[in-house]
Amino acid sequence: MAQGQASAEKSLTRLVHRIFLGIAIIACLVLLVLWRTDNPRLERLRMGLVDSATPSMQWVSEPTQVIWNLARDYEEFVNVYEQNKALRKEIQSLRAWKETARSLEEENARLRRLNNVRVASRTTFVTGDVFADSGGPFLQSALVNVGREDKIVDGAAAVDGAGLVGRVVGVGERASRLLLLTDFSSRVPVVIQPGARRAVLAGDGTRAPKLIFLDGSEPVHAGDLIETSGDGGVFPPDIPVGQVLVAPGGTLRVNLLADYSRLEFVRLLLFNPNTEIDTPGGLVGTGIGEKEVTADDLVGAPDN
Amino acid sequence: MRPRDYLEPGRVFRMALASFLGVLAIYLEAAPLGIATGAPPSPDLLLCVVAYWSIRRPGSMPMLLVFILGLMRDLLTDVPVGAGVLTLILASEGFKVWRRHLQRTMFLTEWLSVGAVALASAALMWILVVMTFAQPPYLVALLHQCLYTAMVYPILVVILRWGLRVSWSRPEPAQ
Repeated sequence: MAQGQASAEKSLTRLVHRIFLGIAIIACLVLLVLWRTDNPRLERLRMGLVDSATPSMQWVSEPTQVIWNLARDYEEFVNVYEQNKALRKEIQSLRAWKETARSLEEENARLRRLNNVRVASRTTFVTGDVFADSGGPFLQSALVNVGREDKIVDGAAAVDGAGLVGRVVGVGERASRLLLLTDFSSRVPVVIQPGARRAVLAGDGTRAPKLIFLDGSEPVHAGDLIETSGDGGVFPPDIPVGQVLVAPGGTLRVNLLADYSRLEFVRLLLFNPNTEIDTPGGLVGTGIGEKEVTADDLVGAPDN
Repeated sequence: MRPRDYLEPGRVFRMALASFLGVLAIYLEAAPLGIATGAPPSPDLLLCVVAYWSIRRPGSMPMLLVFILGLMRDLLTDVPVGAGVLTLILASEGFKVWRRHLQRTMFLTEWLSVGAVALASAALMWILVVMTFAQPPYLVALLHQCLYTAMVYPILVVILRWGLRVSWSRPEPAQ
């Protein structure tokens, strides 16, 4: 009797377990569809989770990075004395350049003032610490510990000391998600110098993204410089990206300037494109007199 | 297992430990050790933790916990959301079914099983990504990840078995 009851209970437990397994599988497939359709709720859930996990992730990632870097840079530690000496020497020469740059900037400002030139919008930046990456082969992305609190917006360009790294594709309060240039879904409008041929830099999961949709007919040579074109108004123009590589099949690829292997800090650019006046609103009435002229004033003015 | 069995203090402690290790595995996977393309991919540490627990202590690794950990990993490390959870749940359920057999065999069988499951999980994820018309990753990169996962598993076993003393559960009386 007791054995029969235990057996019935066991089969019921197994049935319930199977039902839960079925529900879990369906939930996973629904999540996959939501992911594929770029559902904003899923992105909000992701950034909310990233926001709350950021401090604890940093506790883990920082010591891990230190250990990793120690192991990787062991050989460099052996030569630390020589490196220190070389760096001091470089700092001395850079100080001289700093002074030169400052005096040139002042001179430039004076000349602009004299010419009454309209200065392009200034790009400022926020520096963030890269505390996580995608880890796997599915997506080339990274998490940075600056977010909406630091005025970061979706689409902001990320650069390291040498060149463009990627762009922001998700912003939380305290963290942002970067899509790297090497990712399959990365597309950036660029210009090839010299010649000013425009193209699109398309990531394809390799170290050197491809150049597609080239305009013009001027020849492109290996070593030509690639910069952002600023088309679309998302990225500021003239950010260095890389140099042209001509692959064996004739495909044009780009050797990125950004050093992804030592990506610890990135600068996120707060870029405000120039305001374009495309409507008359705000010009009519304001500034002419004290009173703002409304549509009623213009249409329904009584005839005297 | 009845719902009240989950409230037993020892099991609650083991579930908390499993959750902690699962979250730690996700954080370690996400640590930026190789951002550059071509850098060695992080091993699937969460799969290793879930596999160990599902084989040794299945009662402390319920499906809901696997689902939560998998979803957290998918969201934090940019694995296709849903595909990662699905493969993790199927792997966990598979290990729970085979655990009696694995308990009677050498560790090598368990090791090979984990490697094979890692490979099958990666293949399933790849197929799911292709089915959604998204760009799948290179198969070579996936194979590398599976290889690293298989290499890491014995190290994890040593840490959990001899460091944290998590060993085989006693057979249930009904069996």
